[in-house]
Amino acid sequence: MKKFFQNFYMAFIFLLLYAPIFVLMLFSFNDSKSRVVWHGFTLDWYVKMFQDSRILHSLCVTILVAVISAILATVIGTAAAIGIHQMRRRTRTAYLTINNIPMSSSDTIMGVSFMLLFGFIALDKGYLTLILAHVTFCIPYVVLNVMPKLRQLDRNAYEAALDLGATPRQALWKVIIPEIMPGIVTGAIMAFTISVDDFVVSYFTAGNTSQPLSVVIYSMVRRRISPKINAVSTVLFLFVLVLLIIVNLRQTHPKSSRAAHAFRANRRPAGKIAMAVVLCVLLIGLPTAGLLAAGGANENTTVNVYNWGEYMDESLLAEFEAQTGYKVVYTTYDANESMYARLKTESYDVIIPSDYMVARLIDEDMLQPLDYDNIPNFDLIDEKYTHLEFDPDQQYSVPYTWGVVGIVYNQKYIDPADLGSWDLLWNEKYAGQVAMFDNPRDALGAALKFQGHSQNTEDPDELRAAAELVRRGKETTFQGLFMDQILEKLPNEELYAAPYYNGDAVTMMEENEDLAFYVPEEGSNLFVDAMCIPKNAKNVEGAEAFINFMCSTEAAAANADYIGYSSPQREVYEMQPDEIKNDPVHYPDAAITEKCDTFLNLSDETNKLYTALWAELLK
Amino acid sequence: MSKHLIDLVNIRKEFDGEPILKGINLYIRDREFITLLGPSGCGKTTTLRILGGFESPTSGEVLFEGRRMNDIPPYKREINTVFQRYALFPHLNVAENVAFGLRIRKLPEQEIQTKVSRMLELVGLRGFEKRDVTSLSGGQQQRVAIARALVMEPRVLLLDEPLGALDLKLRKEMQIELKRIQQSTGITFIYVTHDQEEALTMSDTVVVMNHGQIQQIGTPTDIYNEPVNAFVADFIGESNIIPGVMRRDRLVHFCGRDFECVDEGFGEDTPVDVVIRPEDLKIVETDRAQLTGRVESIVFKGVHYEMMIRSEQFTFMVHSTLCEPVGKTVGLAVVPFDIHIMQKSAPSADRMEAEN
Repeated sequence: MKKFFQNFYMAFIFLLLYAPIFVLMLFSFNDSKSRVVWHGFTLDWYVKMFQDSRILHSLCVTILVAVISAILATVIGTAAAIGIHQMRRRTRTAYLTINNIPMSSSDTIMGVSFMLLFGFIALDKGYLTLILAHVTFCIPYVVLNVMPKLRQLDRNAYEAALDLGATPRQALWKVIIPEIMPGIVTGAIMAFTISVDDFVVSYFTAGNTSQPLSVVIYSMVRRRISPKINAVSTVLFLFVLVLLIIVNLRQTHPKSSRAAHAFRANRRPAGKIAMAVVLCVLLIGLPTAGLLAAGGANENTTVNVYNWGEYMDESLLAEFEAQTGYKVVYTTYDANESMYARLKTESYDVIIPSDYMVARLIDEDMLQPLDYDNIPNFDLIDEKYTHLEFDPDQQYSVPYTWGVVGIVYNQKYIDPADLGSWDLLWNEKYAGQVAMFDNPRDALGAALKFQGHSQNTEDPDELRAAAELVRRGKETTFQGLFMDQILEKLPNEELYAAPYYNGDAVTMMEENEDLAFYVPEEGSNLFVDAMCIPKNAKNVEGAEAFINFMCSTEAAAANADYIGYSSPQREVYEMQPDEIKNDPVHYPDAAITEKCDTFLNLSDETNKLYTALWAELLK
Repeated sequence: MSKHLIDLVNIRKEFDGEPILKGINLYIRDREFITLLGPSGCGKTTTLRILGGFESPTSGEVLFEGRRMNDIPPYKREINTVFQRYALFPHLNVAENVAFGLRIRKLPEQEIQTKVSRMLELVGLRGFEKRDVTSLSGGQQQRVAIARALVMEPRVLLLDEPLGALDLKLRKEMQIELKRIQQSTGITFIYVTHDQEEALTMSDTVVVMNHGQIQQIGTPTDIYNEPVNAFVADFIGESNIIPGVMRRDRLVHFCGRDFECVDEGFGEDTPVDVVIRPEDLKIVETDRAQLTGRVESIVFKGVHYEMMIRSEQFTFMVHSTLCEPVGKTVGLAVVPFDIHIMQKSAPSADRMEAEN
């Protein structure tokens, strides 16, 4: 009985540990974009993964950086370990402690310090900075793996070699290195996996053309995650898993201390496998190195585009390149704020911020006025979406997509009489079955509109009243404050109604046919993401060509189809069938949209008030 | 014996200002089996490491056939070493361990094979060529270490307590084996040990060291029979060391009475150490005895009994084939020839350490 509980407990722990990974793997084979409902088995996402040039490129970057970093870190770490081993006991302990500090300190601190250091010595972010950073954090792991092997070494082994006529150099290569080889190989594999796994340090040190897979995946996680990422993550997880299994086999194998034999006599399987892995990695890595080196960026022919993750049909990039001869360097971000932070240190030619961020960038003089003579397709943008509050003179931005916040509800459970207003979310009939946004601007924005105020109000009393309203909802009707969970809870019918963005509403409605969408009659938030050219752009001509291309009917249509958000382009609207044109989820009634606000950049005091009110509310 | 092969001239060595060797003067003849003997910390291993080139002396000269070799690195010396814990290379098999030095010398493969198999034959490890060195017993590993050094055909072989890790029976076998190898190859052996019996069994010359100084150099017989001071006497086998006074030539006073002896030249009324081997004290009837005492304890040692016999002034250790019961009063006698007189030169601390 006791044994049963022991086993049960073990199984339970492992289930907890691995359940997320299993879900990820399972949904990488799901024949739908849904993260919730199983629609059947498919390998499509794997095919798409291999067709996605950005994913492949970043995978190459990851492997290349990992191989080079692992090799360099192994060489440096092994030399360091041998040096430290020769030291007197007290000095040695001190050095080992210093060696261990980077391992136990936070990745974020490491990443930020690297970024500052490289900035300080004016080193442009790219392969060099990425590899330098990776080498640095890999070295301690190599040292840690090599030290025990050195301690196992007979203390006279080196002298014995000298005694038999070997010079110090020969003694190192023919005795010391072969003796500690198992530690070196384990250290190299550890360094490799750690480099592959790293996200945080890479995030701070990678340049635009050298983003490893982890950074690219992170930036892809916008409002909707493509199951391609599940496929990539599965592949990456299995790859690292295999390497770790090898490392563990090497460590637990009773004869591992003599695994070095394998390098001479090919007798030990663990050593053989390790050798094979290293060879494979080199075979993949080195040609990639050549490829990547050849593709070096030239400023006059390169257009640097910085966009949200999963927010463009990337086949359009190749089309643009073919049409114009420019080469596109495409990188992605996950939030307006990360884009803003990066823009301070990096140069981009085209960025696609949201409305309020456009306003902020204009305020801070970070955008260039556009020359519409070079963007003739701008005329195709519907006037409904131009000259909005965030760029009243339409000097700096070209609308890319637009959308509106509305309420997604389940027709099975909601009485049609209760529809139409924000009031639904505070309706006691549905207590515990509705939800609210989990971010201050959207949540207070909804409350402000419900109370008949502007979403851009700076009046503290109005804001306090709005916060009070949200707090009341939280105490009475809201099941909780959610963001991404809404995407699952609504189709799963765990929620009856919740506010969300119309583009995602379309996806949810595909998953559950009972779902429907309306824009509250009091008005709501109209959001526009727009293409802009930053002040620090290096290729303005290319940027203009790119924006013009994206405004062309073919590109805009293909793009709208891919990302699911409505296009502001007139001809694209005309191309839609009537049922879509008249569907409020795609093209809400103009009478309602007129009551909608676009977010503006708020004053510092108001931003502070938002933060304070929100913190108060979360208590 | 032939000419000097190695001379150590006034070698001093300090570690962090701490003197380890305090002026070693020693010559080593070609084809000699010489043993550095002493308690741990006496400087014998340091002396060996200076010969091997792993340490350089703080002052003094190391001469090889009259040429200074202080600054010649180990890999350029015609000397090889068998290390205390063998220092075999675990990543190489038995044959490759032995071949290591030859491969460094870049000898032709054929020659390497021949030499290696001849050497493995010599140390009795034929058929072990492909074995992992870590799978061998201590004695076999020892033989590999010896083969690995000998195959280099050195002029001198240094052995640093090579039998220390072996059990008694194996140690005895290897002692004989080493002596055989030394005689058949004609290589000069410089051997370090703290085991006096091993030193006496194998060596042509024994160098007794203590506190970084040479105490005595001589043949095993000389060292055993004519120890120059109490430290050597005590270290080479167990001894009764009794404080006494030399009355005049051939007459010594200890334990309350005068004894005739054979030593001369100590002057008159000089304090000395009197050394008597346990086997030289005879148990006799009390009326014929020079000394009397009571048997305190008795231990059977195989060939003889070891008895502690307490007289008024001193407790003697006596080896005898007779067995006397504990508590019995017995008489002791010693002939003048077996009374060894030594100058009270060695500090008493030496004795303390030797007893430890």
